[in-house]
Amino acid sequence: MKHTINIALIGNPNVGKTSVFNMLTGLKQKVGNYPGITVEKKVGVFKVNNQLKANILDLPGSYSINATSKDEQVVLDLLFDQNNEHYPDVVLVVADVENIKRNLLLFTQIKDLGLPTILAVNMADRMGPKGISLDIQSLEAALDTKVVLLSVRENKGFEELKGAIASYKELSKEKIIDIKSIDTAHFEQFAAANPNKDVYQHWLVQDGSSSSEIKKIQHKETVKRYQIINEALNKSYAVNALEASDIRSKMDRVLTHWFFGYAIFFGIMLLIFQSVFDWSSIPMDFIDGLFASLIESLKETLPAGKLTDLITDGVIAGINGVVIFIPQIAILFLFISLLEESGYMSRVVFLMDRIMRPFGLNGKSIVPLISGTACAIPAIMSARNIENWKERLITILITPFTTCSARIPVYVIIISLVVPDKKVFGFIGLQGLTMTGLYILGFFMAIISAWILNKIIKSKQKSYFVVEMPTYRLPLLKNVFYTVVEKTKSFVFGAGKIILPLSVLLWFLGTHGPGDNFTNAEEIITSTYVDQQLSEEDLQDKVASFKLESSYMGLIGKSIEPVVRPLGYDWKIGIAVIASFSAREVFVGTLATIYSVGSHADEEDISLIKDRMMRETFPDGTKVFTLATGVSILLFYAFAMQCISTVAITRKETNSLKWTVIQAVGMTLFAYIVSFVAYQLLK
Amino acid sequence: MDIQEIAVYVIVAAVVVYFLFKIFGKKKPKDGCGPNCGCS
Repeated sequence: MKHTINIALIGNPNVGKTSVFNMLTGLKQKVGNYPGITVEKKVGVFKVNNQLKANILDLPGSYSINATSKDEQVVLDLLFDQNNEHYPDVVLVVADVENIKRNLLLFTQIKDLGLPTILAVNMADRMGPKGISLDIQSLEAALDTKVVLLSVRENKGFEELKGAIASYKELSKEKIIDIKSIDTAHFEQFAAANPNKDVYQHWLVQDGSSSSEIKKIQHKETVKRYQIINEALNKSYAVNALEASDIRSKMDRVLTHWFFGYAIFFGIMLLIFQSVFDWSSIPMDFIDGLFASLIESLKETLPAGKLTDLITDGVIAGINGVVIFIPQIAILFLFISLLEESGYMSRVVFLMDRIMRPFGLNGKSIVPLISGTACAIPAIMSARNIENWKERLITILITPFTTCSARIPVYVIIISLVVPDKKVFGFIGLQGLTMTGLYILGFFMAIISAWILNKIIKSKQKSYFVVEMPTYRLPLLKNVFYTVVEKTKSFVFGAGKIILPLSVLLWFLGTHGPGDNFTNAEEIITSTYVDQQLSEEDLQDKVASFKLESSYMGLIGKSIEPVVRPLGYDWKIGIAVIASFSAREVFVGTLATIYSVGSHADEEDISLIKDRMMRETFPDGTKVFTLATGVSILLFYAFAMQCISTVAITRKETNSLKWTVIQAVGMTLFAYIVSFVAYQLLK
Repeated sequence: MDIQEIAVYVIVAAVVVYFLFKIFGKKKPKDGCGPNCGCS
């Protein structure tokens, strides 16, 4: 029978820890190149050998175990809790060969907890280009540990690593430093007060001294550890500067330049959003056509009746509203993942610190703000690595303003409806430009809100900024692929879980109604228009429209129309807005359901949701989707807090109902006012 | 009421129960949230 052990995977941010995790387990996971991306623990299983299996836990990146951020606290909690189901039998500390000196600080701390520890020196493929040489035996002797050289890119060292894990019982548990040598008087006294306890472990969590006293001792600890690390590396590690190429600093000079840095960043963003539009149109049309034919063939094949209508007009029409956006979301994540993987994203973090500071934010706030373009939920969680409470709170509160992927379906459909498909300066698409503008608007709004919150929230805690600058590297296509698949899947299934049942419910509400008006719609309309020479098709349109108005959905929509009408919305858009309070992407799916319910035209004519929307008119015959309405919807979705999951995560991460309510109500109220003003000015 | 109509009512009732469960159902605490990580 196979024996199972627990492994904890620990390391500084950006050492390729998650790539090592992926190589060992094959599990799909988000791999980033900027600090703070791993915010939750991830567990994987892999076969060490025929007798041994391992559960491996990927812990958040930490610089030390003197917990100053939530990420580091997660590491500390696990290593000190022997009852934790993931308490490790062996700790695998990953270090980057280029930054080994700094990475070893964490290693020596882990080693001093008395746990069997392996040091995995990663990115060995960088040794040649950087002129680095490393004497493994000498390092092993100096640190009294097993050292393995790894290269994820070249798939090297993993068999040796598995061999080392298999022999975990033989690993040394000896400590590297005698804790009392750091400050003899303090630790003698601490040990006397805590007899029969491991002094270092106990000191890390239980020292009752003042925070300034603790900081002083932590400083002494760091100095002591670096003395030992320097001694170990002097014997084993060398860099030949003549062999090293200096492309990195040349690139940094340009990419972090006070002008070109920002210009390049915004250029890249514009290129990305332009591509999201241009490259996705063919697959989107294909998906739409596929669903239209599916609906048509099902209607012909299945027996006519309400269940068939539910399947075709409720379920499939709703799913189409989600699936159709897969190409755009996949393309967006392809680019974001390439930027992360290449190391460029960390330069953006550095670049943005200059902008962030005056607004009460930290350079690290850019991580949640950029991650927020994917989804606000992981983005808010990634704010855990901001040490300062006030900066963290502000980051959490403003992150939902950034344009998440759930807004893309709404933006795409509305932009393509109201913004002409024209080129500016002959090569920049107006639609792509509008999309870029909305992303900038979201970011700008986030910054302004941060500035206001910075003035309101008071805190005495000091703030500092430390960011890792990884080397530029060619993105690992496997990691890029994992990210694209994972993010697209999470959008489709996350949204699908809400949209599918909601589509069924909406279809029911739109095809059933109370009273005689709904039941006798055909007779009422026929008798009303008996004097007019209406074609059969026009008459059926009138019946369908009257039925929808008299249905449950129509009644709900009409009752809220006075509230949404000042924003330029009719009762149908009103329903979609209400339904999408659960999640923004529900908006398009809901409209798709509503309009397919209300139309009896040929499937070919209504195959595109866009076409259905374009034909919509108010009772007086004026078009519903004008520029004014479009802008009003875009602004509403840019600012309103329409995501239940984000509300839940804010509640969880801030541990405060007050801030959760302020965020949700504040954003939605602001969205209403801005949309109202925009519509009234443009109509 | 034909069989298709009955099926529709059953499905819609199931959907309503699903939503009620989603809104009011007890949520399992997420793995990884210790007492010090700000989420408890």
